[in-house]
Order: sequence, then C-alpha cells, then structure tokens
Amino acid sequence: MQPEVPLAPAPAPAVRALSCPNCGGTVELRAAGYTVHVGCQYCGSILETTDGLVKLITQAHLAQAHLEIPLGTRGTLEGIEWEAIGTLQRSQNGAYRWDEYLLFNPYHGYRWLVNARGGWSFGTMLTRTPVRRTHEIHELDGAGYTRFFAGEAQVDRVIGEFYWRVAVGEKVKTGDWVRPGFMLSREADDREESWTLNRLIAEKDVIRAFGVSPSGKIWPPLPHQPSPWGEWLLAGAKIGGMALAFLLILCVVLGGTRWTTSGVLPVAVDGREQTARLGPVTLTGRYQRVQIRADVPRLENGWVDLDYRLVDRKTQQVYAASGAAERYEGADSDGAWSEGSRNSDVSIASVPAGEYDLIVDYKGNRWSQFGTGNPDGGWMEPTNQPQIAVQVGTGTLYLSSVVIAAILLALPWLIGLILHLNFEKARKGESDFAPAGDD
Amino acid sequence: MATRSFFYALWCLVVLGLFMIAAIFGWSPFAEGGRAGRGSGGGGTGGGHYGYYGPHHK
Repeated sequence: MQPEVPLAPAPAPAVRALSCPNCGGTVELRAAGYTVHVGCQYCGSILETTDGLVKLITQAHLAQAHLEIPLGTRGTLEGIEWEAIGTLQRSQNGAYRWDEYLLFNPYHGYRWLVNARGGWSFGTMLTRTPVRRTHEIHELDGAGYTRFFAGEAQVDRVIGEFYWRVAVGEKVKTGDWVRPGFMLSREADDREESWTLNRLIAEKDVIRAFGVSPSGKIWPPLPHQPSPWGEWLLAGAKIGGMALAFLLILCVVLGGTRWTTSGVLPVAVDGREQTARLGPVTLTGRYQRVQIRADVPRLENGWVDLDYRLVDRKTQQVYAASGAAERYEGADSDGAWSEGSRNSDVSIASVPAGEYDLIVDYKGNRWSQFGTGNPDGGWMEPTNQPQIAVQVGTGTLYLSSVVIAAILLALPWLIGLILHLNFEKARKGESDFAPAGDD
Repeated sequence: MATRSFFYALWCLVVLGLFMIAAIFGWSPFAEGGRAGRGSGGGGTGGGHYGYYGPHHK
C-alpha cells in the first residue's frame, strides 16, 4: 500500500490577517503582495505592510466607521467579481464629500467604485493620457469631454488596504471633464499625474452587486449624469415630426372651402328686421362644415345683425348660427381710429348631406347720425342702396382643429424639452466653470 | 422602442385619429353654429341668438 502523498502544495490562504499595533484589532489583507498601506477599520491607523512586518505609520483613534460596502464584500459588476478591499472618504477641503471604494480582482486588478451624493461610478485607471484639444475640451478614444471641476481633494478617512502609500490629509490637485455618462478625472501632485475614467452605473446594479441602500433622487444632477430626456428628445422629434408632417398632408388634401351658393340681400334703411331665403343649398358630403360669409361693402359706423338657419327641406332639421358685421371709425384726442370689419364669417359644424334652404334674418343699424361726433358716412341712406352679399360654401377642416391637433402633437415633446433644459441648467450650475448667474 | 417613445407614438396616433374623426364629421369645438331644435325658428343649441349685437367699438 502506497503512502498518501500530497499531489500539490496546499493553496495559500486568500486572506492574510494582521494585528493592528495600535488597537490590536484584526486587520485582514485581501490583496497580500500588492498592498502597500492598510487602514485599520477599528481605529483608523495607517499601517505599512511592504516588508513582511507591520509598521504603524499614522496612529488614530477613530470610532468604527459605518461603510456602505463593508470591506471584504464581493459583488459582480460587468460580469467580473470584485472584492471591496479599501475605502477612502475624500472632500474638497472638507466640503462636497464623496466615498471611493477600491475593488480588487486578482485577474483584472484594481477598479474604483465612487459614491458621490448617492450616484455610483465605476472608475478605471488609465494607462494613457487624454489629449487636450482646447481650453475646455479633452479627448479620449475619439470622445470629447468638457471641463467641469477644478480644485483640490483631500483624504479625510482611510480604511482597508491600498496599493500606494496613502495618508489622511493627503492632498492632490484635481480636474474633471465630463460627457453624458462619463467623467474623466485627473489627479496630480508634485510627483505624479494619474487619470481615471469613471462611468456612471445604475444604482440597481450596485444594489444587486454589493447590497447598498437606495439613495433616492439625486438633485442637482451629477456632473456626468445624462439627462433622462435627452435621448428621448431625438426619438420624440422624429415621431412628432412624422405626425406633424402627416397632419400637414391632411390639411393640404382636405383643406379649403368650396363656395356653392350666393345672393345679395337689400338692407331696409328704416332699420327694421328682415328675412331672406337663399337656396337650394345642396350638400353632397356625408357630413361637412358649412361656411357662411357676409360682406357689407358700404358699412361705416354701424353694424348688421345676422342670424342664419340652414333648414333641411326633407326633414326640417335646423342648423343655426349667428354673426355680425361691424365697422366703426372716428377721431379722438389720439387721432383717427377705426375698428371692426365689413365682413362676417361663421361656420356651422357637422351638417349632413341634403338639400337645404338658408334663412337669413338680418337688421342694419346705425351707430351715429349726421351732426354727431362720429358721422356714420350715410351707409344706410336710401341713395346708398345698402346691401349684404352672402356666400355659402362647404369644407371639411377647421383651422382651429388643425391648430389644436398640432399643439397636442407637440406638447409632450415640448414638456420633455423644458424638463431637459431644466435638468441641464441644474447640472451645469454645479460646475466650477458655470457662467455667472447660474446657481 | 423605449417606453417613452412608444407612449408618445401612441399619443400621436390618438391625436391624429381624433383629428381624422373631427374632419370626417366636419366638427370643431369652435364652430359658431350647429344643430338646433327641429323646425325651430333658430336659437337652441349651437347658434341663433335672435338678439342684437354691438356696437362693440371703443
């Protein structure tokens, strides 16, 4: 019988434990061999682990911090499992705080998961330098990024392990350039310059991966947060444009009025009410708009009341409308004035096919007499032979319906545009380079 | 198609549909006149004031 011989050496433990020289707490090293500095999660002291021994670099006595993602938590983002091994809390000299979690995967290296005001970004360290195109724009892989922030960031808290020597109070010059969904971040000190590309990721992805708490609505928006309306505005413009084009085609095809019947009605100069009949008015469409136009050519400083009844000869069904032609002029301290019109246009909706009589009840009126401040021009004098020319026409479309339809078609898109502009104004208002006046 | 675009397209179809129906029936909410009582001398719904206007000048 052969003795049992191990086929391969036992695998090294994935996690190496250290004892914090300051507080005695157990500090786990998850990226042993790569980690340079580690922040004790119990007291906040910074330890160096490079030479196999643990050196206390910075002594601290912090209360145990509550972390949104406890160190050691593993989660899958973009199909790769990452482990949170360190976290930094940083700020712009104490204001505008944000948290950065260092993620590690032995095959894929390090990434950053940044939480600013509840929004999460996934940061990849760049090994190439973006190209400066203009004072405003940097370019990376053909995409332009607009400058947004410039300032100084300091480290306020260090917990966990890091691949460089990090310390509380460490300051670097920062600059950020953005495009929708992406932020290009530059950090520089006296010794080096580093660039990171941060991609905004959906909160639900981080919740699913690391079990963080939902943060609710982020307002004002993050610098690289895309407008929720921006993409839809392009698609909406195509949809709305097609709908408006279709409406325009309908207007061209169905628009206009066909005048079929006309007559001239004499106006009694004594101002009595009169009645006249025009017809037959033959309507051939299943339903139509009937337009009645009255023109009073000599009307001056007076008005004509007009009542119309369109009576179906077969059924005696009545379709009625009223109108008036009014025209006034005179002079006052402001000078000469005139108002009103010698024409009257009325329409009757939804009149079915048939043969009709148009009954017109009308009455001419004087507003003033000779010798007053506003002479009537004698429009109802017998020598003028005042009269009304009446035309009857048919059509399908109403201009008001076209206008209402166009407004209703455009309204959702216009609301989207207003919300988009409001979002962009709030987002850009956060920039260090916002025009004066933006909040 | 995004949900928002789908609903906007649906909205456009509804508006155009209502517009077509209004056109087929020659109808508008802003028409001055319409159907009145059968055989009446005017008045009633949709027109026929049988009163007198104006003057409406300044």
